[in-house]
Formats: sequence, structure tokens, C-alpha cells
Amino acid sequence: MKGRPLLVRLGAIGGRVDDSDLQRLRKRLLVYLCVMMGAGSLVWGSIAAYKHLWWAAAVAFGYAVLTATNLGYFHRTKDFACVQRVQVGFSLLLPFVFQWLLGGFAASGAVMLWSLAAIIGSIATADARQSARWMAVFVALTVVSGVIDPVVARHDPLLLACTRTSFFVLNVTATSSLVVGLMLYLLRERERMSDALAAANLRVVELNARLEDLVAARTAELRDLLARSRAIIDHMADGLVALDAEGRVQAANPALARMLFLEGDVLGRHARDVVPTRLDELAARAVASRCVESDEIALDGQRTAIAIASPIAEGEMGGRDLGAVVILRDVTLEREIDRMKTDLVATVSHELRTPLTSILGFAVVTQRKLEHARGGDDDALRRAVAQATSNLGVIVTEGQRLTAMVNDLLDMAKMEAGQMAWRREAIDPRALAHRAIEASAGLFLGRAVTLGHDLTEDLPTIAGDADRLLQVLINLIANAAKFTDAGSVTLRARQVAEGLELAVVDTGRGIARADHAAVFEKFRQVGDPLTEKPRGTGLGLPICGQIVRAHGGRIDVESAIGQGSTFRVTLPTGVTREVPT
Amino acid sequence: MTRKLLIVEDEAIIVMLLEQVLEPLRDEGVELLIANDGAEGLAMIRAHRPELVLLDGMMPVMSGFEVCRVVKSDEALRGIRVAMITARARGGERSATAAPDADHFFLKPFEPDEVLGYVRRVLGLAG
Repeated sequence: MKGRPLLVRLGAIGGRVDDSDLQRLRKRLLVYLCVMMGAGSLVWGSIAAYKHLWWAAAVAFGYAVLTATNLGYFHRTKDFACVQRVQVGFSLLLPFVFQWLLGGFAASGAVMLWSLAAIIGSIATADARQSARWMAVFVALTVVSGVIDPVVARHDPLLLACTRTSFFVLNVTATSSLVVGLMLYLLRERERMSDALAAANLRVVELNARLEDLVAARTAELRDLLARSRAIIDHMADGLVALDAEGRVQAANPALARMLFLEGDVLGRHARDVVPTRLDELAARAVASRCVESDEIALDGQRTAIAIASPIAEGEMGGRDLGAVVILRDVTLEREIDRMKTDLVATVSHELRTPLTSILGFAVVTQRKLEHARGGDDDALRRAVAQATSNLGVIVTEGQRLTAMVNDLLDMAKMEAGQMAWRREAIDPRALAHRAIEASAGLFLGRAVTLGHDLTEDLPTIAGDADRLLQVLINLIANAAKFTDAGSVTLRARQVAEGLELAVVDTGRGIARADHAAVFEKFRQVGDPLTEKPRGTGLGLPICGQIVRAHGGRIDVESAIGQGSTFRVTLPTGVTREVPT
Repeated sequence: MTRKLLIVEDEAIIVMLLEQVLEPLRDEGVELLIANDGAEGLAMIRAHRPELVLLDGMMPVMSGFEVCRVVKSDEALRGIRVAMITARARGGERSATAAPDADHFFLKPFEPDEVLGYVRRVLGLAG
């Protein structure tokens, strides 16, 4: 029990923390070799000393001392390569020297068996190449011993016979135990390694099985997810088609097939052979611009669809282009409802005109008749007539307001439906401005508000519908007059970079910033709806906006409460949108 | 010689209104003729050769636009002035397309004074 810790302590000589298993094994074998051969040499030395062979005893004891020193050096420096070579060298050379001192090869050939331990040590602690070199040295020394044997031979048969037997037994036993020990050790190592290998193998198999389970589970999840995505796409009411960068169909859903009357499998086919040309072009446009693009597409069977194409890029924005995905929505019904709405507005406003004609007409005619009767003698009758005339005036004014609303509604409906017929003629802005001022002059009679103009020289000629643009200016001036109690309303015209700018500037109450966008909305009059009685249809500015936009221009407002307002219309002088008349 | 003015209009109330509007002209020797649909109007145009026709656009049997086309394409009738009274669209745009040869357009609701003034001008009567 005490030997084991000693063995372990010895085995640790020359060891390093970072040694590999093989290095640790080699070092341990070297130390065991040293210890065993050192002990053996002490036995040799003792036998030699007993026979009074002092030189031979000195060599054997010297070997033991050198071995101990070498182990001490190894313990200190941990220089394995050096210690191993020195030890193998001693173990190889010294037995020969010892043998020669004992009387030569013939007298004590058994000693050289000891040198085999050096070769075994080198095999155990170094590689095959180094061991081969040591083997060569061993063979050379054996040959040399054979050659010089007659020179060193002595004639002392008693001594020779006695020592020969002792050394023979000692050396054969030592060398054999060394070989057996080494074999056993290596065998045990091999078993241990094969056990470790089997265990490792088992773990690999287990891991593999677990990995397979995991892959199967993930695959099932993925398949489920795919099936769900597929179901979502297949049940969309909108048609969907995804195209790759080359324009080939990557995915399509049943709604698309229904809308485009597609038959068979379209996957992998080029979009131009499958979808209408405009849809293909739209997708190409979306890929090129990297923006969402939309278009209206005519489908077979007199149906209309809105197509929206979005580019697909890999990863974040700026990734590789992967094509486009296009959504197709059938809007035939919506378009039909739009058309019906426009028709309804047109019909209603048309039907309203005949009763309006009678109401207004008879009111005016009656008013005229009463005016003739005013000059009567009867005071009471005169007062009654005056009252009736005034009342009829109210009917006429309100009737006119109703007419204006009908007109605005019809205009709005037609413009929204794109049914408005626009004229396109050369317009002199100066003449247009003067016409607007003339037409609006009546609004300023007897008021503390003046109507002025500020027109720069050389205004550019524009192309468009003069009557409609006049309508815009008159509307803007009327609005300004309505919301200005004192000061002035000025119609300004000048040339700007984008073309012609027409502006109506007033010194009125102004519009809060938050309401700027609302003034261009339909049926909106900004201000408090409870205290401020709405006047007009609420369609004036939206109609102005429609007209200006149809001319390729833009309308905006600059205003603040108490600061007056400036409504600005900018019209391009160049090409205006061509609208058939 | 009496001056003749024909009103072709299917709505009795509008006829009544126009009669009242144009009443002052009776004293100036203008005869007002009335027809209640397009076909009757055309027959009266051929029979009476009025100087001016106030023609409603939408009427049963034969529309005013059709009557206008017939009158203006007939050598003998071409000289007759035709004023359309329509409810079709603002500014007479659509009506101008439907009856391009009409001499004048009134949009419903028309101004009574405007109609009276126009008739006076056409017939060369002092206001």
C-alpha cells in the first residue's frame, strides 16, 4: 500500500501541467526505467565488489549515481529529450564497458543483454526512428565487442563461471520483466483507450439520434409553418403573384388564377407569358425603383383591378434584389358604385333644376309685378307690398344659393369621376385677372374692404381652361371678401420659377395653422360650427383644388389668426396635362 | 305683321313661367305660341315659321336637341333662331355637343330678366 504513492510520486518527476497524455506516459516510463536499471546496477556493483573487482564495481555503482543525478536533473529542468538520450546512452554503453572489465565478451556475454533494456527504453519513450538509431549503435557495439574480445579476455575460470551465471540470471530476468511490464502496461492502455473509444462512440450515436429527433421536430414545425403561410396566401381574397429577379413566377394563389383565368401550373413560367403586360411592367418598375408601385389593370370580362407591386430585397433595405410581389384587387364593384354615385349626383342635380327654375322664376316675376303695384294710394297695401317684395328677395337669394350648391355638387362629382371636359387654350393671365376683378367688384360695394390688384409686367402665357381658372380666382376673391371685415383684398400675379403664381391676399381674420389642410377638404368650413353660420356649400376650395390640380398646378394657403390669409395658385407655363375636350 | 315666338316645353309650370316672363311682349305685338313636346314643336315651326324658338332640351316624343338639329339642317328653316333651355350641364358644355347649331343656351334655373332681354334683342324690340 505504501508503494503506490511512491510510484505515483516517482511517475510525476519531470511532469508538466500542460503535458499531453502521451508525453505523460513517456516520461513515466523513462522514470520507471531509470529506477529499475539503477537498482539493477546496484546489484551488479555489489557482486563485483564481493569478488574484489573494484573497477567493475566502480562502473556499476557509477551507473547508479549517474542515473540518480540524471533523475534529479530531470526533476529540476524537466528536459525530457536530453534526459532520455543521456539515460539510453548510459544504459547502452556501460554494460559493454562493464563486460570488458570483467574479461570480455566470451567471459561475460550475458551482460550485453542488459543493453537491450536501453533499446526497449528508447522504444517506449521515443519514436521508431530514434529507436532504430539506438539499435544500430547496439549492433555496432556488439560487433566491436566480438572483435576486441581476444584482447580483453582474462583467464580466471572460477571467477568467470560464477559471475557469468549471476549476471546471466540477473540480466535475463530484468530484461524479460521489463518487456513483460511494458507489454502489460501497453495492453492496459489499449484496453482503456478502446473502452474510451467505445464510450465516445456510444455518445456519438446518442448525439446523432438526438440530432435526428431535433431535425425531425424542426422540419415538422417548418412544414406546419409553411402550410399555414400557404393557407393564408391561398385564402386571400386578393390575387397574389411573386416574381423572382428574372421575372419568373415563384408563387401565385387561387384568387390570381380566378382573376386572370389562368389554367395549369404557372410556377417557374415567365411573368410575361402568364399575367397581363401591364402587370409585368408594373413589377419591373417596382424592382427598378425599389418603391411600391400601383396601377389600374383592365381584366377580361370587363373587370377592373388595382395592382400594387412591392420590391422584395434580401434582409434589410439595400439587400440583393429578389424580385417583386404583386397584389391584385378586383375593384369592379367599387368602380361601379363610384360611377353610380356620380350618376346619382348628376341626376339629382339635374332633377333639382326644374323646380328651382319655377321657384326662382315665379319669385322674380312676382317681385316685378309687386314693384309695379308699389305706387298705389293705400298706405297699408303699400307696406304689405314692400314686405312681400322683401320676402320674395329672400326666396330668390336662397334659391340662388341652392342653385350654386347644385352646380358645385355636380362639378365635384364630375371632377372626381374624371368626367370633366377641360378646354385647353392660351390664357393671358392679365386678362384673366381683370375678368376676375370685374366679376367680383359687386362683393365690395358699400363695404370697408377694397379690392385691388398687383400684376407684374411680362406675365407668362399659360395653357388651360380659362373659364375654370376664372372660377378659381372668383371663388378665392369671394372667400377673402367673406372673411375680411376691413382692409383690402388684393389679386396678385407674378412669374415664379415653376411658372405663374396667382395669389389672393386679404387682411381678414386669418386661418389657424391647424386648419390649413382642412380648408381644402370637402364640406368643411373651419371655425366654430355652432356659433358661425356656414355660408356656401363647403365645396368652393375643394373644387378650386381639383381645377388647379387638373392644370398640373398646386394650391396652398399661408395664414395665421389675425394676420390675414394668402391663397396661392401656382400653374406651370410649360406642358399642361393633356385632357381630351 | 305679328312677330311669332314659339315655346316648346313639356313642363306646364315652366310654360306658365315663360308666359309670365314674356307677358310684356304681348303688348308689343308678339304672339306667343306653345307646343308641349318636340314633335308638336317641329310641326308648329313648319306651320307658323316663328322668328325665335325657346326649346327645352329633354322632352317626350322628340327631344329639343333633335328638333334643333332638324331645324338647323333644313334650308327653309335655318334662319329661325333657336335658344335651348337645358338642365343638362353647367355652362351648356354638354348641350353644345348635343345641339351644336343652337344660337343660344339658357341653363335652368334661368334668370327671367335675362330671357326677356335676349328675346327683346333677337326680335329687335326696345327694352
